[in-house]
Amino acid sequence: MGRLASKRILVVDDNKEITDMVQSMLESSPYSCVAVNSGSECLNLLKTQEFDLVLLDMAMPEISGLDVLSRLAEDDQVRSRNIVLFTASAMYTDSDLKKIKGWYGAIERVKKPFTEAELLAVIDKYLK
Amino acid sequence: MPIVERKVGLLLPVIFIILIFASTFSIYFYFRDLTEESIRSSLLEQYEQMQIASATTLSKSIAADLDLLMTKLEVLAESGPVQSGDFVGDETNSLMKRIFEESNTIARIEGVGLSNSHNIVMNVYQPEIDKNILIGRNMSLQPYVIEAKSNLPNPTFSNGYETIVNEEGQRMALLYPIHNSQGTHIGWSRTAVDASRFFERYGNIHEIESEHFIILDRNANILVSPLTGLEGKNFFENDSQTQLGYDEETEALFRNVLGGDTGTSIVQSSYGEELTTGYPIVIRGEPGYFIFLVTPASSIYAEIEQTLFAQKTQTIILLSISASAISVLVIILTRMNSILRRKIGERTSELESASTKLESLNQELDLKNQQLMTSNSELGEKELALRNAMSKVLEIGKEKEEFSTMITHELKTPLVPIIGYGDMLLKGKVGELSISQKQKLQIMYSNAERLVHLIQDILDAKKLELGEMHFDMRQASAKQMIEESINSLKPQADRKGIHLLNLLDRDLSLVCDPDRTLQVLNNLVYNGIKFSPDNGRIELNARSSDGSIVFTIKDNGVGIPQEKQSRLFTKFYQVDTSLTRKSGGTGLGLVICRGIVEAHKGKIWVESEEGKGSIFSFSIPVNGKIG
Repeated sequence: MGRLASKRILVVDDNKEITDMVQSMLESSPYSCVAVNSGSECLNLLKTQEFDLVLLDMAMPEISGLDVLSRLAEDDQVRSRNIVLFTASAMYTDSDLKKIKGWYGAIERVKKPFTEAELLAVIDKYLK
Repeated sequence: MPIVERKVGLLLPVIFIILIFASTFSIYFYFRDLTEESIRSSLLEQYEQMQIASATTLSKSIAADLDLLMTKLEVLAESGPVQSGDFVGDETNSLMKRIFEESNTIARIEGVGLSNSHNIVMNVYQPEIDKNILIGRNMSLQPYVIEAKSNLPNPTFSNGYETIVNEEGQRMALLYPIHNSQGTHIGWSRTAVDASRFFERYGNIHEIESEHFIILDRNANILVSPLTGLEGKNFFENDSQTQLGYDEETEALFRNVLGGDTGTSIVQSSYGEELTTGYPIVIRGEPGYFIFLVTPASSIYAEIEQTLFAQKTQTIILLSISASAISVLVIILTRMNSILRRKIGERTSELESASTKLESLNQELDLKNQQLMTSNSELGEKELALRNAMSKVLEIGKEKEEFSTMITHELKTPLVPIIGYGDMLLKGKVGELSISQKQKLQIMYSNAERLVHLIQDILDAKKLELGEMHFDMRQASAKQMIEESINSLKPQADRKGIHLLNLLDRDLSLVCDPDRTLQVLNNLVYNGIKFSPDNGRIELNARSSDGSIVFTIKDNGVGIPQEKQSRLFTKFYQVDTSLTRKSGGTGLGLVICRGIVEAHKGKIWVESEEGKGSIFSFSIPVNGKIG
């Protein structure tokens, strides 16, 4: 699988240990991974680059995952081009989830903590 | 108030009565003089009229008597013998006697005589005097004879004259001419009367102090008067006037009367005021004498005053009676008024007291209303306070919730790299490990997993408790869920050599939250693994029953005592706490299971026998709805 052909994944989490871990978990996978550690970085990056999938942490300071999602929902282009996946957290309520599900068709959650296998199973579901 | 009213009640009528009396009598006194004067004058007028009337009567009766006397003389003069010139015959004598006697019944006459045309006395009938003394006397120089001559052929009522025989008073002679058959004057039949004696039979001629009369002759000589010594004197001469004291007005009155008029007036005399009425005594068409009826004014006034006094007394009595009557009326009215007033007062006070009661009631009501309003506002305040407290509690609860959520998140976060890297290490993704290293890492990893479960349980229990757990209802397969559960728990079961068996031979579909339903299955299977001996066996099955799918998890473990079965699904309850410690767990597993099942309107229960194992069952309605 050539480098150009590899699917791009954006990992967003304020905890660098976790983004590092996700990156190491995906090292041996066919997917290339970019990591950012804040909601604002995520939004800036999404304006200029295309990603096949976003792993988004919900519980982030300043701009949370929910904020990122609601802002992305305003931009039809961004929403149509990206399959958004977010990393699970206890920091959202079921009503938040309902809202998000209204904005995006493909939503999956990954519960923290997760194993390499669990993560890849979800990613494979969308990108294979 | 009542004392003042009573005083006023007494005072008013008294004032009224005084006023009534005062006004009545002041009116009386104001008009008294006017009325008295008019009464006086009217009374005086009455007296005048009365006096005029009596003067008229007197003059007429005097005239009648004198005329009658003259008629007697006429009878004598026109008798046969006398006309034929026989003045001294028997027949004449007897006639004279009869005439005398008849005349004496009328007035006291001195005698009856006959004289010839030369005025020689021919015959006399006079019982007291010897007629021979008189017969033969020549009377021609007597004033009354001169008068009679000038009056011929008419008879004569003479003015007053005096005689030598009787000097005291005035005399009046009556002469009737005798004519023979040829009509020749041949003599007189005559008589005379004493004026005083004659007139005294008609009234008082002596007392000047009381009602009396004066007679004047045609020459204004006084015939009779109460003042002695004035007889024969001329009324208008100084002598008379000095004694009588009449003023000019009186003179005028007398002159008028002597002129033939009648007159009445109050005149001033030496004896004070007098009411004088003059009246001519008309005999045979000619005024012969004049009568002046005199009443001293003092006596009239006295009578007037007496009458006035009687009238005054009567008036005062009448006024007093009427004033008293009015007073009584006033008193009665006042009484009635005061009674009315009292009654009105009573009524008013009753009304006032009723009004006061009403007012006080109203005030009470107002007060109560105010109290109610106050308590209402207090209630409002309390409600507000409660609401505030409630919202605070809710906020606190929310904070708490957020806090607990945060805590669980914060607890979980460190576990993320532990679990992630642990798993990678155990799987040799970062290099091969020795068996000893792998064993120790496995223990670490299992404890990390337990910690994750504990945290997840606490979070789920909390969500269920608050009713905030989200259920994503969709079509699900019972078989698939059982298989999934077996797959996910196989690693734990394998470690104890426990067999997980799916006994469901056909698929059953239902509407539920598959994730949560799986969570229940997993919990129950995990419990079975925990409490089963090594190399045990856990059977999973599902069946359709009364519109629900009943899942069963049967183990051959230690079993649960009967008495503890009912408390199994309550919070933090564990059958064997020591075992819990050994096997781990929060004791929240079954509570979460019950919460999820009951949210699906299903039931969860256990059948167990100690030492033989347990069968955990839960039902989920086929057409599940979250309640």
